[in-house]
Amino acid sequence: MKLRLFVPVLAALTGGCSPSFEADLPDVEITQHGLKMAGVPGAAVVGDTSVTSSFTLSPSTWAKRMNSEIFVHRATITDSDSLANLNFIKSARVTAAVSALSEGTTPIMDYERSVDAPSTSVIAVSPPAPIDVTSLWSANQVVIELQVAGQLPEQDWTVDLALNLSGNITYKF
Amino acid sequence: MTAAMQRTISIALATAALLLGIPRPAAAQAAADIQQNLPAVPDAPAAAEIQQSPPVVPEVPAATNIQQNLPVVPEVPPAAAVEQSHPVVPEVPLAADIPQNPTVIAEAPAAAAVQQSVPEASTQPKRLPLFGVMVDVGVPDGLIGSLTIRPRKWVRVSGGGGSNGISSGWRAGITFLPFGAGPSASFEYGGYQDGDANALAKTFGFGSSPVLQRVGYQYMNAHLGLDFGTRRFVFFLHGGVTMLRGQIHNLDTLIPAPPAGDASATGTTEVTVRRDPNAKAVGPSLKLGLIVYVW
Repeated sequence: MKLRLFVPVLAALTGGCSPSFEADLPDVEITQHGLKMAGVPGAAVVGDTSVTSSFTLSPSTWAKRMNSEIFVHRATITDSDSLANLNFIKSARVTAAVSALSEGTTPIMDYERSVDAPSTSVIAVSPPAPIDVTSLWSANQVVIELQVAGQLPEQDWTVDLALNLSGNITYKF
Repeated sequence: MTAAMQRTISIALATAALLLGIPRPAAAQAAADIQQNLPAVPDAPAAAEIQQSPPVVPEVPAATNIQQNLPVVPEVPPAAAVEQSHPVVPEVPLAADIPQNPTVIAEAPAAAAVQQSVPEASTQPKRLPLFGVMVDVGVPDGLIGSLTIRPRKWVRVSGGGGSNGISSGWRAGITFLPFGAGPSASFEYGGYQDGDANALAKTFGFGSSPVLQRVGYQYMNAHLGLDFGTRRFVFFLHGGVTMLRGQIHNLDTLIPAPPAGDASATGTTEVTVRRDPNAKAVGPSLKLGLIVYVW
């Protein structure tokens, strides 16, 4: 009698509980090393100009299958060349889009250098609130674009662009 | 026949009557009647008490011994009077003799008490063993050996350690058995230290991975089950839900770098997990085990 009652209850309990997996990713950094920025000949004469460079990310297939929430909470531009500093950058903007032809872009970073800012070779910006890039993450390709403005070098130069992501992934079998 | 001979015969008869088991009421009544005829024997009531307690029988002095004590009891009435009233009065000499044998008087109540306490003890429920050892195996518990305490029939607590094939761990839990046996509900919490799970993965045919180099977790079980046995040996089968928590280490080795278009123009991409992810999994679990209560 007990077995006849126990077996269905146990089966319902174990079978009714579908296995699930959930992980919090507090800090994942995606760094694009050596992102090439074009030099501006005669920049000293021309004055402030802007250049744009972009690269493409392909989120992992396994990650896209999961019900993920991905946020960007920090973007960092670091000099990876022999430049003394990045003081010549008066403004910088980083955007993300599903593809290069996409009109809708998601701003990730907006930077304006203040007049009395100290000399630095690292520009780091944390938005007031984490930026939701979940929809971008589910795409096959994400185009990240960096635009800088200021009295830029005449020669080509490179930077490292790092995006710090956080989020969580869940999966139910 | 002299009075001494009559007393001797009476004592012998009394002893024989006791050994043969004369019914208590008759013996008691005879003793009471005789006591009325023996005003000079102040300890006569003790005879009635002794006769009502069969364990005293083996300790009744033999007829010869009683006979030896007879000269000390001058108050015994004439044998003729005793014979007229109660021909088989066995207790008269005994009643006279008891005061001179304090050992018998002292032991008689104790023997009676023992005789009365034996049936009471047999009716009381036996105390369940309190402490035991338990061994069980399951997922994700692994193989656990525990000490178990059963303060009540319907509850037991346990704590111990074991291995999941990767590292050593611990677990504590409580089990409720509303009927003492049969259906049970268990709640447990345990954990395992970080250990290299690659060897275990190879055992099951999986390849090695840096992610498996450090595997550790904490878990909580909520189980229903059946427990068979109550006293010394208990076998159980428990199943239910387990919530498992842990950190995933070396995850960045598992994530491939996103391919870049033109590496010469756009550089290379690197993915770094700067803080290990916290993982939580919920799923079914099952275990079976054996408890041996030792004390």
